[in-house]
Amino acid sequence: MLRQITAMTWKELKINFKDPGVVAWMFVQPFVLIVMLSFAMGGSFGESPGDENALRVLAVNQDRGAQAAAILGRLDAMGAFAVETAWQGQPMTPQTAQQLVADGQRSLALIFPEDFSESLALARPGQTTQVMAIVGPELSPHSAELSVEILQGLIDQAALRARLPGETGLKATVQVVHTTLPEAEATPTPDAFQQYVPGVTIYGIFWIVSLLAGSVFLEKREGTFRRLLVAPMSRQAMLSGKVLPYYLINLLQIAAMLGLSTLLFGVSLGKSPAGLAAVSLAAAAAATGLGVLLAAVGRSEAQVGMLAAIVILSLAVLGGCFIPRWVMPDWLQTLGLVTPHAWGVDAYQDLMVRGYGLWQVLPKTGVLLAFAALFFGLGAWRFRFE
Amino acid sequence: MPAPMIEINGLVKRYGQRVAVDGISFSVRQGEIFGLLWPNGAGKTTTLAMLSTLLAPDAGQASIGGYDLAREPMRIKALIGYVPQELALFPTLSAWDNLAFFGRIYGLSGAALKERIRAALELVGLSERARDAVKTFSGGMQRRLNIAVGLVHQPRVLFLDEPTVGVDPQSRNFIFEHVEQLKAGGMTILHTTHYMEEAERLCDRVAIMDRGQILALDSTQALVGLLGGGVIYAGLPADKLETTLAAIQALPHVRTVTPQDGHLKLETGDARLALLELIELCKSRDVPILSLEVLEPNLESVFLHLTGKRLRD
Repeated sequence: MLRQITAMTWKELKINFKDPGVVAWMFVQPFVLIVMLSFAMGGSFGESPGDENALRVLAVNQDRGAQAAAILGRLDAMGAFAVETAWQGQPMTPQTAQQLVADGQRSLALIFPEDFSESLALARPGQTTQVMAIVGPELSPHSAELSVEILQGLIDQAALRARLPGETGLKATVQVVHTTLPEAEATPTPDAFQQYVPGVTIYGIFWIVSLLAGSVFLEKREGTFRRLLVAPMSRQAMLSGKVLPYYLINLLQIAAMLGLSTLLFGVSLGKSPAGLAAVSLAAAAAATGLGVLLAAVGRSEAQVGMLAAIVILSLAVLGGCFIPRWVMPDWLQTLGLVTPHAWGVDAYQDLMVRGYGLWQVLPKTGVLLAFAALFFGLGAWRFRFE
Repeated sequence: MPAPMIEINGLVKRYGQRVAVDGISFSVRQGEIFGLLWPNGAGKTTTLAMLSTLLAPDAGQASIGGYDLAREPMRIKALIGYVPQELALFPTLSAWDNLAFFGRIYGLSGAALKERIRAALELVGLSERARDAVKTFSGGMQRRLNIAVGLVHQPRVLFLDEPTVGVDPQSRNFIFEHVEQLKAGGMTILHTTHYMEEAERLCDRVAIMDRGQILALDSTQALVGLLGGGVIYAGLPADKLETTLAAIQALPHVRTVTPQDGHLKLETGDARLALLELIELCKSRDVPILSLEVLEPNLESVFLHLTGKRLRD
């Protein structure tokens, strides 16, 4: 039986890898999507892996004068900071800045008060104007201190320039006050690569549904399936031999997508190889299981092709492969949980974004395996060998 | 006398109200080529599906190589080779890869597998094209490979389902020679065909079937002998049938005359001489012959004689 399953697996892999269309569709298409979507949508997400040299700083400029803008300009020109004064086309507000830091999309926000320029120019003893620095938990204390020191230095410098020569000895009355958000308040959200590498990988592996179901119908049409039925081979071996190669193709797809993304774009895959392996094995099982189910319920090659495209795209969109689920309305986020895609993408992001380990992703891995068991069970039950 | 390789007793298969196979019984000896002649829809596919363990019969028993069809299907599967009517190959793989795959499915491996592949390719004359993709082969070459796949594991019983449909004459002769070689090697072959010359050349015995039943079963010579010297169907005016019947019956080369569907059916000792006598008789009596059909004594005529329809209908 094992020899027969191996023979079928080898044959299927040979047929598929001889077909440039299959290689292009299963490997090139998702990777091109990862690259295109990550770069195209990078601005809509948090920091991308290529920006680690400059710390992205959100700036809320409420200053009635010009001093805050000048200081932000100098900060930006230093190269170590990338100052953002707008978000999605709108001027930055204190609420937006605080939320983005709390969400983990940025790690530092500065809020300049309305009377900033006035306070620099006129020393008012006993009165201190504060520039708020909101620090995210992922920014190290050292980096936070350093950033605040640099900003305070720029403010003091500006104060000296702004005052009359006789006032140079006076102490600056503008202070940078920083608050670090506690760990619990921060829910890190992915950047563009952290969204699209797992998202498109999960989307890509579900195309196996079309390939597997199509191959079953092709074999039935070409008569080779009947020939196998006449051979001394159990139906379990036949089904296993039909499923295993596509499961292996799925694992190769995952390895290629994640591997190339790390190699070419420095995407971190987290710190748990075991967790990554568990999620990948379970996600691939869910995808091939759905392929068996579609092969069982489909009536023709044409019907299966159409059905596969509808199912794959709908589940991918609903499951957050292209549009992050956290930007969806609550009801749609809940609905997305009926897809294996949502659990797969979330599990990968737990590992890649939130730094979880194997034990923390086991529940989501379990859900993926439950999807796999359901799909495969129903498919095997309804599968028509004749 | 050795036990038959294939033995079938009262095999029945129904699809709802329709009886596809209606209690057929026959046996095939080891090393025999047994032909099944039947028109489309007469139960051929169902019978082959049952014998190759794909379908369970509703009644009756069958055994192949001494193994019971119902109780020991896996043992039977290991004994038989199946060459389907339609091509059943992987077109993007090479001839070698196709044979290697099916060989492995039947448990062959290593040097034995390679040896069997080489032998099968040589048998069908495709050794030179072993590494080429099947989709680049001509129709005849694909047919030959289709047969080789059924032979790669050296089955003791081979089911050949219309192996020469759509094959050019050269490839057909090639296939005939291979089948004769297999028979010489002691293989038992169950051969279904529409082609009478194929059955006459290859088959030791032939069963003629229609509507799920066996109408006649014997050697090809004996079956052809059923027609004597041939059969003539003559269409005469309805008002002349009765008056001419006795005279026709008296013609020297006519054995029997029976009215059938407005015609007269003449079983003859020699169809050509009987035809001449019939024409002269009708001319002398001024009876016009409205239609005339002569069935030469061959399997095609036997089939038409027994079933009332042509094989290719």
